[in-house]
Amino acid sequence: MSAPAVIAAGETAQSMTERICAVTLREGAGRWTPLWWWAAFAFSLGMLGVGVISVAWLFYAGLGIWGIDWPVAWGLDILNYVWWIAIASGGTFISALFFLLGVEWRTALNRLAESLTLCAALCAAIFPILHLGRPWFFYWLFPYPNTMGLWAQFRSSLVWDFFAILTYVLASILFWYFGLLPDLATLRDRAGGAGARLFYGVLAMGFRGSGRQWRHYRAVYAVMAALMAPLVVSVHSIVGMDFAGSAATGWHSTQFPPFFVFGAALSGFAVVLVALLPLRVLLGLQAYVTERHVDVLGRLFLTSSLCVGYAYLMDAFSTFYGPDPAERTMFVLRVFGLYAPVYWGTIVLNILLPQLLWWRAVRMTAPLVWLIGLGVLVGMWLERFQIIVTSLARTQMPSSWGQYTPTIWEWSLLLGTIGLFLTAFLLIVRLMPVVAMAEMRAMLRGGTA
Amino acid sequence: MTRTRPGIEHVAWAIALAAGLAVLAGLVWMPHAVYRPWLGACAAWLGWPLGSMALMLAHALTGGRWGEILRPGLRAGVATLPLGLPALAVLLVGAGDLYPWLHGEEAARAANRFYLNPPFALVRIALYAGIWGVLGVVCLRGRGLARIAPVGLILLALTFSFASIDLTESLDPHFSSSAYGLIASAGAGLLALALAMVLALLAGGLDADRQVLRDLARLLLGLTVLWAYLDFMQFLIVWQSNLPVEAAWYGRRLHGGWGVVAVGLVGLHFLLPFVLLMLAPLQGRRSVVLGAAGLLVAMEVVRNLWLVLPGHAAVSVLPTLACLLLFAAAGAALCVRAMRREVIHA
Repeated sequence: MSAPAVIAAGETAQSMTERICAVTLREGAGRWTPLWWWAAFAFSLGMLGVGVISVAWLFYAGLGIWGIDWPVAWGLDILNYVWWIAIASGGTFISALFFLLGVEWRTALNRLAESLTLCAALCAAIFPILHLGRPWFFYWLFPYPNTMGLWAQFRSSLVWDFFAILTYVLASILFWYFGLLPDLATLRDRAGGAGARLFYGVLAMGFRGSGRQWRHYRAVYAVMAALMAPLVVSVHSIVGMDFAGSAATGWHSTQFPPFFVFGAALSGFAVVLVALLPLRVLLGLQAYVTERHVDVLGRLFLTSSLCVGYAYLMDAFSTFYGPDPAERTMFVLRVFGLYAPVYWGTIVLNILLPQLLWWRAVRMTAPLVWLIGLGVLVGMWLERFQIIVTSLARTQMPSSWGQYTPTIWEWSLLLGTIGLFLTAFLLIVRLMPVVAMAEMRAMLRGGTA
Repeated sequence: MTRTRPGIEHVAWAIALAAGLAVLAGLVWMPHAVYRPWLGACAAWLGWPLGSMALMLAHALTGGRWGEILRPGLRAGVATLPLGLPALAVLLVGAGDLYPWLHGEEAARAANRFYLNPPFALVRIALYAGIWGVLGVVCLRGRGLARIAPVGLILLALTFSFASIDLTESLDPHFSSSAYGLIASAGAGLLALALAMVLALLAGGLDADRQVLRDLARLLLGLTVLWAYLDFMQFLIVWQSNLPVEAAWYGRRLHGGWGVVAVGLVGLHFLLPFVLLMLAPLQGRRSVVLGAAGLLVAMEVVRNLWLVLPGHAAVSVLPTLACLLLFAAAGAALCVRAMRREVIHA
């Protein structure tokens, strides 16, 4: 076992459990929730409030308050959806894929990463519903027998996207919660106050740690991990197919499904790094989230960036290699036209900036990695902008070209979802164990969780 | 590891010589019937040395028992790279017959003539040969592999993607698929891994360690799923969009006898190996893993022929068999020699 590399020397199962429980239970000397948490929470709630106002006004006034119109009928709403759902992938890659591969360093990261997945998937799910215009009829997307004899168009990727996202969100919640059960039981057993015991006791659903329960738990967790890994690929593939199956310029590309998976991995690793680097210091987790974790995540981050770079190259090449002149015109406009800064911003932030991670010194400098992660999150947003807006604004017929300017209500909704993401994440960080204690204990004892 | 006898190498060379004479006769008497099968065999074989290099470089980065067990087989795969010289020579002679973009009228009309033109094609061939040659030497030497692995993998990904476009996609210069290089790369990796596993299993390298056999079976399953995913996504998008050029490309490969081959590929290149490698009780069985790996090798060859041969009237069975036999026998001879040297060095 190579535990010293992923856990600081001298750490035992008991010291680790005590430390993680102390972060959550806050009893005794360190019972007060730290000031940084309250400040961040207030800031997040403020942003969430802006989003609530934006949605309320949208419900009252309708979609006309947004800048979307013909030809750009998909604006920031779909852009933000694609951006958030990609961000959500990081947790699943780390938690499910690396679990199946038997990678030991994932153990300290999976709880935080899964929590990020949950919060980001929640934000993503809001946008397509609001985009419907009449969100109260969203259930029409379900193929259910109805008096009007209307069925969903099963040949459309958009219907499959609905199924895929719904499955992914539900499965992510279940995977996250199921993984928490043994740790919730630990918190229940260690909580001093009656309220905390009741809270964690109800959530632990009677998990007592018997041999039978552990046997079932391990079997179900392995099955769920095996389901989550293809699910995350299917979600992003279908998002890619939403575009690839269309006749819009710049969208019909056979590499879009894997390209969107690459982009999802890049966004996912970026958000995990951006969240993890400050939290490991603020919560005092350096003994469990070591430099090894940061180094490995940095390498994975760089690899994802190279894969995305390959996809950008193939996208440019196949545009000019292919037979459609409208595609070539659109690409030239994308690179040199009105939205050129968006294209070049994408290239600089997603491809050139992460190349700094080739140097170990950079990978080991937390502020630099944090800035690169933040840059990539912005870059991925710009990438979605150039895929969605630039393509729609410059269709095959120049007479149909248009321009799109997002309104304050679209920006405020984006801000609101960032607020929702941070609020939900901060609550999880405060109330739930931030490291998977049961799995860490198993690793420290030399077994498997 | 059991010793590989020089007798096998001599037999392989003898078969290669006989097949080579048959191919030569074909080139003299009916060259139009030989070029396409030659290209198909060449495209399938190329995945072996280049996929082996990619796996060696990937292992240099990640480590793991799997790479150590497979190393002799992977090195033997890289050692077949010299076959590229005769392969290229015949392709250069038959290029005018194979590629419409080399003909004056077609070339003048094509929008992609910036890429598909003779001078640039020659520059690319020289570049591929240079990069693959240097990487091959480095892989066979084995020293400092970890240091050059990231750059080597990037170079391999780029050169192999573009080489697959040059070799097989440009047979129809109107067809364009941005996923083509990815699919070819996944196929090459799958072929190289399956062949290295077959060699390791035949040489007895996996008999002692059941867990490594399971890990390798899972790795092969992962690559099978990856290839199937990429190839199916391309098919689904083309079907969904139903654009004339792309649909016609698939149309030639899905109708008549080639349609049967396509169905066979779904069943034998994906479904059967998937089931065999997926079931936990079968993953540790030597005969099952050997059968699945052998099947994947055969199907990868068939897939390459399926990419190259449809829509070409002059294709017949005998020249196709002669080309396949030549590449298989010459590849086997070079491979056995490399493995014998490995044993002697060890």
